[in-house]
Amino acid sequence: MRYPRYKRVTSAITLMLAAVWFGYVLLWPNPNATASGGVPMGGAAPDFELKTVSGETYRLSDLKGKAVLLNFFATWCRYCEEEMPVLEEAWRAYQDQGLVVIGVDLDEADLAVTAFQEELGLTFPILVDRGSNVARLYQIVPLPTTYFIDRNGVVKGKWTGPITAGQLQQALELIL
Amino acid sequence: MIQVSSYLFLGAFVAYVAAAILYVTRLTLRRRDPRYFALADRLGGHGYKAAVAGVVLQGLAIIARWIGSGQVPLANMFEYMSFLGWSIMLFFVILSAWYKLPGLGAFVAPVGVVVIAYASVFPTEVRPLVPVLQSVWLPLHVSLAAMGEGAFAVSFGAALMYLLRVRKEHSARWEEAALEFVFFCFAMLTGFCVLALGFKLGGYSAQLVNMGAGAPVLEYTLPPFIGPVGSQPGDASFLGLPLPLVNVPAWMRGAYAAKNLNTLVLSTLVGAILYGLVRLIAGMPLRELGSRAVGAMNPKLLDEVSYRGIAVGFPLFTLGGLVFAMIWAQKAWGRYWAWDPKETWALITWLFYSGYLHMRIVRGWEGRPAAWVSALGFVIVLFTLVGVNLLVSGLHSYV
Amino acid sequence: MDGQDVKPRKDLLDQTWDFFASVRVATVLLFLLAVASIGGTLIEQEGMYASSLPPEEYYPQRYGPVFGMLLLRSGMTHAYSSWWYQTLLFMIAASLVICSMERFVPLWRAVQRPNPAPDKQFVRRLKMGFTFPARGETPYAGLAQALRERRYLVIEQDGRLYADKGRWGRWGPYITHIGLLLILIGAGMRTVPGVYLEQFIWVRDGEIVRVPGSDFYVESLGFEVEYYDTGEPKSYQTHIRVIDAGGNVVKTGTIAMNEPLAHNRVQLYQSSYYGEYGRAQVALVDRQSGAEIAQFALDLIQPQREYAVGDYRVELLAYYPDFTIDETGKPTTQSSRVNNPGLVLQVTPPDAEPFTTWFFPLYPEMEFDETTPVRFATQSVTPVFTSGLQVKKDLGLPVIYVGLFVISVGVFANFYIAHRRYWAFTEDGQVIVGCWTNRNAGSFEREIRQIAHHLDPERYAFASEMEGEER
Repeated sequence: MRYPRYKRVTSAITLMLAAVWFGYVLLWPNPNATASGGVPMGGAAPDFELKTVSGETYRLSDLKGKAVLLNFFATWCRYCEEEMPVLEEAWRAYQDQGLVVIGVDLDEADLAVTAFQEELGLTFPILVDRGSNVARLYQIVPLPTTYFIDRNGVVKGKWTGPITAGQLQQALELIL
Repeated sequence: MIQVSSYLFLGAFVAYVAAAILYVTRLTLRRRDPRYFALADRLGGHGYKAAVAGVVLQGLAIIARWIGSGQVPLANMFEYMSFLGWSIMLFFVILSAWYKLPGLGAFVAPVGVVVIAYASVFPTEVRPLVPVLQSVWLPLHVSLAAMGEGAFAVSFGAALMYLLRVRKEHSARWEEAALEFVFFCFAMLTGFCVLALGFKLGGYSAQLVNMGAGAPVLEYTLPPFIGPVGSQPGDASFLGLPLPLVNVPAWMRGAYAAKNLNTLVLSTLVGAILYGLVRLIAGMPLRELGSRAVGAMNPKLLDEVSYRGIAVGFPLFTLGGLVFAMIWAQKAWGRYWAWDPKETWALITWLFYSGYLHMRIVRGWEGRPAAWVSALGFVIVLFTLVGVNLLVSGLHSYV
Repeated sequence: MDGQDVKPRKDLLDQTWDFFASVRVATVLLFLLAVASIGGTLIEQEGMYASSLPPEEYYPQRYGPVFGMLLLRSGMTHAYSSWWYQTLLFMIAASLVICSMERFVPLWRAVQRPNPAPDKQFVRRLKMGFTFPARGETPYAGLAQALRERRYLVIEQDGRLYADKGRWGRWGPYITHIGLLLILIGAGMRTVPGVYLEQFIWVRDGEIVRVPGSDFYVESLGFEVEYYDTGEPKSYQTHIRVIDAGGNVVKTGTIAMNEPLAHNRVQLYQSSYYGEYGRAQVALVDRQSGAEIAQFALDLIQPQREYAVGDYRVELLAYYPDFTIDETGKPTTQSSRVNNPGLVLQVTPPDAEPFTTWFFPLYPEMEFDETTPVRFATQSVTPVFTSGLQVKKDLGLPVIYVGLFVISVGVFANFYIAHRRYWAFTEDGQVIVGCWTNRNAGSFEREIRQIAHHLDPERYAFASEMEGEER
């Protein structure tokens, strides 16, 4: 004697849900991982909005379609200073291929940022991260840290520490 | 007013100790000779009065402390654990009124005494509340959870008595060992309280330089037989003996690993001595002593009291320990659940007692297995309250 | 055919039903879930350890190469989102639903549509009950009244009596189960995009910050903190303005501990703060005479390049918000926070050569050159605070709250309300009463004894059946 229909239907639904559940849990990457665990390679780069010293606003989502080199630095960080010429060079060379170099300064006085910019002759946009909120979003601990984001807003690479021209070249191939 | 509270508290403690002594004496007398039954019952009656007096006195002590400090006295370990002790005695008094089971006092009153003694080990000064604790949810969450746990404690006592009562009817070897272990653990806990209180009252203190993890200087309130990394014999002393005798192994990286290990080892030693003494005087394993003490009791009633304790405590613990805790967490921290160790252990406790309640309707699982689960459940409650603080740190670490 | 009853083996669907409908299985699942929850409290979880290393490197380092790998592979490093934990949750959810479905309909019939006249043997065989002589035309009158006084629903039908109360107590478990399912649903909703948001932002006094994951901004109008006498913070709060994407101010309010501010289903919580030396009032002093020449306000968060101080011109050459000396002996700053400001200033007196000097607003006496004609003296330093706000959004929250309420009702109904029933029939001049309850037999017995004593005082003295100890 088989069980009544409502029981059998419930059992069937349960088994189907179990299959879906197993599939989801085993195969799908955990979406909550990005909420607290950082920016995974291959994941979407978290959107943000910051201003330059002169008041221009930049939003990451507006840069879709371009390859973005996102460099987190501070003027007092020696390695950051050392690698700046490499970044400036890349900006000049690949601008017309759709590369955007963005520097994000870690919450320093306008004066410091402007002085730094002038001293090193940097022409790419430098945004000031008031409150270090974007740095936290991107889980920045050591400086400098550079993220390589492709034209679809996907994080393709991350580099901690100063980068040389050769290493930068290789990384750029991932996103250009 | 705080001073008044301290006196009332001391009075309550004395009353509880008296109750415990009276109840245990009653059981011993009954065992000896039926001629003593009348005397024993009178003692039991006095024991109950003492317990009631203690509950009233401590209730007043809590109110006095509340008035004196201007804040609800449930914010630190001392206040919380003593409230738990009060809750245990309160539920004991209530359940004793419902069920004629005078023998229960001999098992529950000592638990209450030890819990309060344990509470007294912690700093008792009133400290102003950290901003995050200033909320009406604090007393709601903490008091209801403690009430639930108090009822669970009484259930633990009755379950233990039940297990001792039905022991003769084929109990497995592990059960025998486990029962004896329960007594040993109780001895250890008592040992710890005796040690800690004794040295605290004596004002003992030793500072040892620490080259391992944690603070550069570790302050000990017990003689440091086990010292931190880098300490040498002679850095401290006790009764002329240069201490420490041994250093904590370097792989133990907790900030207070040396202190905690020292406390654990010393408590175990004193506990072992206490246990050994009682066993020697009794001339038999403690579980045998326990069995004889409960030999005349009605196992069905013991089982029912054990069940009732959990049935009464479970809604209180659910509401206080989980529901209110989650609502408060949402209001204070913006998330109702974060798998913080203390939260998770409250859930483990809840799941465990849920399991117990479901066991009662499964054929074959209601009697002895359920009693063991009740006993283990209280251990889990204690771990949630004490163990988590010692072993793990998290958002809850200020309590 | 030999007439033997051959039970066909149940197929998968029916076996599935049996499995999840079993209380034994449910009990085991509960204990398993309890045990499964332990590991995550002993091993540091992925979101919670204090290190910048990714998990693949952190765990082998912390727990050793072998054990660390084991933890990572088994999922113990994210125990509560691991496949085994989620599977247990799913199974418990299935058990909640199927156990309840299995028992609900029969229980409904038994409780809400009781049979007032069951078989007399059934009533006689009940464990609790009593008998009293039937008197007069209405033998049940006394009993019915006693029961009605105790708020029982009394039904007299076909010469029989039935009374019960506390039906709610039977529904307790099912109410609790529904509540638990609601909690699981509310928590599960987080996986749906747009339902859940969790961020943290620092906002300095006067700054405007965009809230990540949303389309609005938060401006701090000022942070306040109150201290106890001991120096510990007593309470703190931030006055803020919420500004939408179009630049309009949509809300003004205060966020304090335990008192979040809500906007568009997003909640802002006061979480932490830090202070910096924000503004210094500095006086230019003539070294010889000690007389004050003029004062100027020095913003240490956003210093200017040039200051006019009386007739003097002061130019900022270098600024180190958190002054320190690096390994090569060069002055530098160790962070962006104004914790220990140091400035290199070029002072141009009205009729003399400019000179350069160091100035530390917190330690104005610290000078490297004491021959300068003028020096700086700090009149006051005011702190500037940065408030730490938690940003949270959880559309599943109402579901959770309802679930919590339902669970509370359920457990209290379950354990504090007993379903009690009385059946009575008359036979040979006696009224035979049978009683039943689903919990708290002891106190029910007391009630029965009371009623029995009231109806037949000689036969039923006032003693409880369950004695604690033998005499």
